[in-house]
Amino acid sequence: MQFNPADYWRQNKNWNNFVGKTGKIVFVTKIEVTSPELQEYLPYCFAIVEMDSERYEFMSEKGADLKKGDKVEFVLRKTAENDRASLINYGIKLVKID
Amino acid sequence: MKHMNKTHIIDNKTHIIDNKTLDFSSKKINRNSQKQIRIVGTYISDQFGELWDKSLAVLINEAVNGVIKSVSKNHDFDPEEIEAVFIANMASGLFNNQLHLNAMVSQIFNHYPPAIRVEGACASGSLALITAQNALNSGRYKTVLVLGVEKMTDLNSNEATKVLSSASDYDFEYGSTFPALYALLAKAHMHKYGTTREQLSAVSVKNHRHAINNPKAHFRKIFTSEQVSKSSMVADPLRLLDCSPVSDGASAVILSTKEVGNLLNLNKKDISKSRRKNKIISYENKPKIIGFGHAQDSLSLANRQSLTSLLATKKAAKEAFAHAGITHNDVKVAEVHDCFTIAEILAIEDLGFFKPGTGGKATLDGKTTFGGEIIINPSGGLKACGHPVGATGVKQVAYLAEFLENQDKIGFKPPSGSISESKLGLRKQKFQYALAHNVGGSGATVVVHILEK
Repeated sequence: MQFNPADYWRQNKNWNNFVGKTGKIVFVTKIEVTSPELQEYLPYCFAIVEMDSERYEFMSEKGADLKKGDKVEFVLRKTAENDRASLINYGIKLVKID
Repeated sequence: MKHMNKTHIIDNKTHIIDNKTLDFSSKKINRNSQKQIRIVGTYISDQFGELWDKSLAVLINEAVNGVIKSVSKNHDFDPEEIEAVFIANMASGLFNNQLHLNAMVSQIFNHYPPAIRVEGACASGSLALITAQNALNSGRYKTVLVLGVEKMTDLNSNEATKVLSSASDYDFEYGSTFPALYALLAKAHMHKYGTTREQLSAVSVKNHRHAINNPKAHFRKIFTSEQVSKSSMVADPLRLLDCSPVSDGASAVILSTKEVGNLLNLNKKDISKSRRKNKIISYENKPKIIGFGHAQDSLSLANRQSLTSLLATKKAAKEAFAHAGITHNDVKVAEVHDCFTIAEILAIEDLGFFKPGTGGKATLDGKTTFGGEIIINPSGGLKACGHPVGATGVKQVAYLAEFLENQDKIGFKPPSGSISESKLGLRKQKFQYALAHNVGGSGATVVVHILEK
C-alpha cells in the first residue's frame, strides 16, 4: 500500500477525540469483499456509530459481530497490512463492549 | 476518521436543510433563459462488459465516430459542427494511468474543438451533460458533444473496489466499500419500512429480464429470485447479484440548440470543404431535454439527514420537474441509478413514483416493468446493462432518447417472461416523456434529466 506519512500524521491528531470513548451502533454491515490492503481483516464490520449525539463511520476489528444497538469502544488498531519495510498503519476501530 | 472540527459546520448545515428542505421558492427557474436543446445524435458501445480487446482510447474513438455517424443515416454529419466536447470519466488515472482525457478526445477532430473533462464519481456522465447544457444555454456554443467513458476491467475486482471507494469520504469512511455504504442504506430501509430480501431480489430479477432485449447489455441472462438471494455475500444484506458489475464502455450524445445541422456530401469529397456543406438535416423530430435538476448532499452517510431516502434525489427531481413543467405522473419510463438493488428502491420512492417504503413491494408486484405503472430501467439498468462509471449518465440519456425516437417505428416488446404483449396492448402505449436519474457515490451528487419526444 502506498502510504503518505503527512496524511497519516494529520489523521493521528484526531485519535484522542475517540480513543477510550464509547458509542452506540446505529446501523452496521459485515463486509466480505474489500480492497487489497484490507483483505487481511475480512470479514469485518463497518458501522455508523453515535457518540455524544454525533454520528461517525468506522470499521471494526476482524471477525467482529456487531449488531444495531450494540455499545462499542473506540480503540487504536492496525488498519492495513503492509510489507515489513513500511510504516505500520494505525487508526480507530470499533470493539464491542459486553 | 472523522474530523471533529467539522461538527460545528455539520450542525449549521443540518439546520439549513431543516428550514429549506425542498424549498425552491428562492430558486425560480427562468424558462426564458433556457434554450431548446435537442439530442441530435446518440451512441452506446456495441457491448458493455469486459472488453479485453478495447483500450480506453479505442472506446473513446468508437464513441466519437459512432455518435457522429448516428446523426444521419444517409450522409455524414460534418464533425466541424461540434463546437466543444465535454467528457465524463471518473478514474482513468487510477484505472488506466491516463489523464488529460479532454485533449485525448479533442485530437480526434481535425479542428481540435475546446474540450473539458468532468468528474463526479458515478454521476460524471450527467454532470458533463449539464455542464454542456449550461454552455448551450449561455449561447457560447450551439452544438456540442458529450462523451462518457470508463475502462475498468484491466484491474481485478479487489483493485477496482479500491478505486471505486475513492468516491467515498476517504477521511470519514476508511474501511468502507461502496456495497457496504449501500448496505447501510438497505439496513435502514429494512428497519424503518420492513423492506425484504425478496423485494431486493425482485429489482435484480426484473432488470436482468429487461436486459434480455438489450443486445448491448453486459449480462443478458435471467436470474431467479432464489439465485439472487443465495448469491455470495458482499456486504450484508447485499449479495453479488444485488450489485452492478464492473464494466467497460462508452456512450455519447450530440446536443444542439440549432434547428438544422450541416452534412457532408460524400459524392463531392474532392471539392473544397465550403462547397461540400450543401446538405442539411432537420433536428425538428429529435428528442428534447426539457428539464434537469442537480443537487448535492454530504459525502459521508453519517452526516445525512436521512438514511432511508436520498435528499439530493428529491431536490434534483423537484427542480427537474419544475423546469420541465410536468409531474412524476406524466413519466411512464425511466432509467434510474440502480448501482445496487436498494438504490433502485430508494430512487423510485424519492423521484415520487411510489410512496416512501413501498418501492420494494411495487417492484415485487410487477409495477415497475412492462405492463406495470411505470417501466423502470428498460435497458436493464446499471445492474444488468452494466456500469462503466463515467459512461453511465450519458448512456441513460442516450438510451432514453433512442427509446423515445424509435418507439413509433419498432414498438417495444416486453421481455420474455413478463406479461404477454397482446394482453397489455403495449404497442399502443406511447411514451411522451422519459426520466434519467444518475447518482454519484452514495447519494452525495444527483442529477435528473427529463426528455420529451
